[in-house]
Amino acid sequence: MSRFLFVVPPLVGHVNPALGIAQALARNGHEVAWTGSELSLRPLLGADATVFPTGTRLHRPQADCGLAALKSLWTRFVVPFARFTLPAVDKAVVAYEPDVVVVDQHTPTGAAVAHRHGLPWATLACSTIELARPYRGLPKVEAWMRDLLLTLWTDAGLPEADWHDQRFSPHLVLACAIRELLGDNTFPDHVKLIGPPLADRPGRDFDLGLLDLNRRRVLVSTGTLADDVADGFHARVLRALEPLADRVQAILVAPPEAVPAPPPNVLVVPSVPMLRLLPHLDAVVSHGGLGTVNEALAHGVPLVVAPIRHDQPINAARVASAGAGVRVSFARVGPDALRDAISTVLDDPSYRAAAARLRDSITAAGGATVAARHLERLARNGSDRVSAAVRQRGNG
Amino acid sequence: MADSCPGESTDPRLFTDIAGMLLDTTGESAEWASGISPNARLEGDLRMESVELVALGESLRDRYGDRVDLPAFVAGLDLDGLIGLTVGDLVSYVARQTAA
Repeated sequence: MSRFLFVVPPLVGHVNPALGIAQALARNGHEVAWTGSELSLRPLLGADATVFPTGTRLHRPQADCGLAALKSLWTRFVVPFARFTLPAVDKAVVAYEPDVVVVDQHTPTGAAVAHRHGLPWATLACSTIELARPYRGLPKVEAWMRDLLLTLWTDAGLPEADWHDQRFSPHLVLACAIRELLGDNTFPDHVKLIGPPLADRPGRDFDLGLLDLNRRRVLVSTGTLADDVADGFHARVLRALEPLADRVQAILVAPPEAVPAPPPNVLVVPSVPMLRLLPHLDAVVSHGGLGTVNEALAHGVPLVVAPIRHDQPINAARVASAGAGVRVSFARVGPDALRDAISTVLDDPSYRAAAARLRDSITAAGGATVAARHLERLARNGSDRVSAAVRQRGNG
Repeated sequence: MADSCPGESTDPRLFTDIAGMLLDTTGESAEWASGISPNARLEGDLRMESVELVALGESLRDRYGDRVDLPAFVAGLDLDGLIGLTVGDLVSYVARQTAA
């Protein structure tokens, strides 16, 4: 039996994959605890989870796209959250004495604290943005991010000479994506492409009897973070769907008050139990967050992807190039082009066939079960390796 | 961005050519294209995506020759320079690279 401490940001798309892995570890008889914002984590993890709270620091809602969004993600969220949580994460490690620390790629504090205590740590990548390296052609952007990470490291009291990129554990990187979503990048052996670690999540109610089995069923979801820009997109989706009423039923995930008079072929619901709904769907219209893309593909459901920011353009491009979906511009696509895109993925069977191939890749990647196996191995061997590395440095 | 002074004039013919390439690259409507101005930011205002920038870079090279190297130009910019990159900056860059 080993003990694993998960360091996660207060973001649903990052907690859900971690939860899938934590459940697999618990099934194998291990102990799991969490550190992060209890306010955000508790509803997702349930009453029984052990949470070492870091407190909650309000961060500004997301805005912008492209590089402006990258800048705002790091300077308004990742860096301040890392600084704010440092003392609490350190205390959690001291109190829990984990064998392995599992560190989300966007909570760099976990890496610094694990290093400080000589513990093996694994990276959990819930986004494709760091692995796909979209900014490799922009050296000053990559250098800017390295500077932020190095400053966090040295501000945590660690020597600059020891710096290791907090986004990539030298021991184990668990990437919640399959090869097809990461392009032709090559990775070292300790980067494991596990695909989506799907979790048993506390169920939300959805009456499957509302689904119309005589029409094609399309889910429209822009994820949990896009409220600032979703309204304009939803209006265009509704106009795109209206002429398809005789053959398409849509489930639009949005606050019902935001869509006061939906067309009769559109159900508006504030949230859905994705994993329960997906087996009954013919297509998903999404912003391209890795969670939604993974879950749709894990069920062989093709997508229309309208990426907004972060890794979404990467995911959209990879889904399109794998033939499992159509990419449209979130900001600019009009109702006619959206209708064409939706009709295309519904009517051309090649999209569903390609999505089924990716489903098979996801099954083969192994998800949470395989992730748990890698973490168990790290717990067995990792502490030896870390102390060997420390001895090595002492001798050098 | 830093090396495009406010007083610097934008060559109108070059601007029209490059605005046409932006329209071709994005496949947008003429109505959208009417919003292209020298001050429009490629990312924040025109919502250009990185794949579209790659395509634009190829069109620029085909039209103006190898000295117009958009990937090399953007590789020299820092984060704020890239966020603030405007159509006018692009026009000035092409003008510099094709001068004499």
